[in-house]
Amino acid sequence: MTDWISSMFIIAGVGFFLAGTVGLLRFPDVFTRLHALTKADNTGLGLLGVGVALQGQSFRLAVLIALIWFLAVTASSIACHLVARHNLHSEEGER
Amino acid sequence: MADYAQRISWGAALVLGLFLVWLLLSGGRGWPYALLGAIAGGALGAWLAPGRLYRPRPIAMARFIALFVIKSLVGGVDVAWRAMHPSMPLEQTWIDYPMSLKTPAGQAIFMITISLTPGTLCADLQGSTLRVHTLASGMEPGLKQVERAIAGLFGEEQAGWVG
Repeated sequence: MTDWISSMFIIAGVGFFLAGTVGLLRFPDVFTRLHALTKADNTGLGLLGVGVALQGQSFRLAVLIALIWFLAVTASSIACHLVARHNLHSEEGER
Repeated sequence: MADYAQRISWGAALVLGLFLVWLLLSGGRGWPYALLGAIAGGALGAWLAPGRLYRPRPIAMARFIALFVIKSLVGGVDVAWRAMHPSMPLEQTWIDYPMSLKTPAGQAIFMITISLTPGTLCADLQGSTLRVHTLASGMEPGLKQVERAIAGLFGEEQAGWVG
């Protein structure tokens, strides 16, 4: 039973990574692509983490995975802000 | 005097936090050393930290963490739907959002959270005005909600920040 629930989470998580990549390819410019990359991948990583934590069957492991998710999400948000700001400033410089 | 009490409670929260992270990482091996280290770290932190310290607010913290997790998960669903939809519904706009948060830490947390909130991305900061890129119109109420939760974290509604 746990295996089933855990695989559902992992499959859903992989689906979000796929959607993020599709967004990266389909979206028209840097800003919209950043939206796709940061947000979809964060959700994907979260669902993947829940699936793996269910497999682990240990509370400590679950909290550790939550901590990793939090650090990854924060880092990706900051990276996204830096890329967006750089792009905004270089666009303004060209005008 | 109020500052003194605040430093003690801040130090105590730091000791607890350091010790819990150690327990998490090590699984409890050698905990007496960790406890000594955590106490030393908390005391040093409370002694050396510059400026006015924040009172730890567990309820506001829990509320903000819940909002953070929900927003970032919903944000992924939102953008994944836009990416996979055949007609790709994107309605790009720029918002100039004047922040009412005063503390630098609060502003930084707000900028990080904005980029995770559904449809918004923080691109620049000029003074206390944020330049936010959005994928649809009408995003301001969501930003206000996040800002209020962060203001609660630092107790900014009650008292002004004194640098």
